[in-house]
Amino acid sequence: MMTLTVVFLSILNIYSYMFHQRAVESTFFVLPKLRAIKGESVLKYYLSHPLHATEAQTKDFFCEIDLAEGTQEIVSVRFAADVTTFDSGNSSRDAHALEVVEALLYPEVSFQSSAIENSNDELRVSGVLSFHGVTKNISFSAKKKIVGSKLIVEGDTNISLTEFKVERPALLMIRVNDTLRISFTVAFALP
Amino acid sequence: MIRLPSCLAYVLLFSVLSHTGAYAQFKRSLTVQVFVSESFSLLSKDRSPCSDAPSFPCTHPDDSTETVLSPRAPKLLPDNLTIFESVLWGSGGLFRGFSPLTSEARRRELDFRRTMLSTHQVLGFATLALMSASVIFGQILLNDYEAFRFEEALRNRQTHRTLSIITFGTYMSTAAMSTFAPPPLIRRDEWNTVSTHKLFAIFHFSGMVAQPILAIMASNSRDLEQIRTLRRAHQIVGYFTLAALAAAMLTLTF
Repeated sequence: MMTLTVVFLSILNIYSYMFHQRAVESTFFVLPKLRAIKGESVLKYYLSHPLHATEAQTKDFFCEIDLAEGTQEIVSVRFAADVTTFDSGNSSRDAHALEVVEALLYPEVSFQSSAIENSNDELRVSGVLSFHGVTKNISFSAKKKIVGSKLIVEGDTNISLTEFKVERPALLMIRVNDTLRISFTVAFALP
Repeated sequence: MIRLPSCLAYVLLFSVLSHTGAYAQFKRSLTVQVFVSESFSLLSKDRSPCSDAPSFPCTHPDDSTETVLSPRAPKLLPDNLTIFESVLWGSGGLFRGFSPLTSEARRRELDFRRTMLSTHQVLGFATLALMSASVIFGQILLNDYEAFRFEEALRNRQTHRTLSIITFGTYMSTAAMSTFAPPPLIRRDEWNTVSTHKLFAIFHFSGMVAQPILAIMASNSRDLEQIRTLRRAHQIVGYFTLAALAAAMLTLTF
């Protein structure tokens, strides 16, 4: 009788443990994630030509980060932007840019991190950038800061147009520099 | 009376059974954790939860309702087409008979547009060089007339005439490359360098139309005073057209 009681209690204990774990696992195993605030976040690119420099930006893009449980360490990030939303203030130039990046075929540029090193406010982000149908590993530095109830992440990186198989646009038969600088300032509302 | 060894045995049994359950649960938790991380990577690789079009994952798996970045259907034509673009390349344009308004066709058209605009640039430079030479020989010819050097004037007149005809041909070809090019993908309502370029184009096109008319009128006239007036007008319009063409090209560099 005593043996049966102990076995019964043990089984009860197992089930209670499992129920407890189920309640915890939904918050423990899915990392907290934050989405960029549209309108306050900006993604820019810079192109340089011997005659002048071009800067275009979009505030209409998707960016999401995962935070480590209980800390504000960023463990992963992904973003995607519609290439037609970039505005340099000159739609003729933007139309030309859309032609060289073949926007009808590759309408998006996206990034998915594979590793992020957090060192205080400094971040070292590695991941995969997909642009013009070409996917390449890139890494760049970024900084994060907390302003009020917002987490602001800023950073930039350079990529090669040739590596992404983008034909460099020309003005007056002179081609732009191969380096495309990308910079971003992304704001997230902290929970 | 419960004996101590029995109690210890029961405690041991209880402990083993409980830890077996905990271990099973731990394994299950690990599986869940791996599953969650895999879901992320699978979503980003598949890019298909929102549509067939290539797109970034629009939601997290536990976020079933919201679409963050819905893939937009690419707009094939800009809202504000020019008259020529509407007639030729609009949704009901003349060329739509053999080039229907599809994404694939538009991609080909944009390639064609780039070729036409690149040719427009090259021909533009050639036109500027030819027009400069034409203006220089026109000025030399006028100087010959003023100085009554008729023999030189005869020779320079032929050179000026030949250069002017070639200039006219390359100019009109340059204009055609721009005017008949398929429309771009986007065009916003704004004033930009290309708008200024087109404004100057109105001036130099008017000049290019006026020049041969003035030249023919001067050649056909028998009234010396009228000939002088027409030559003077031809000279002024020539310089004006050259300046407008050069300015149109310069605006693109800003």
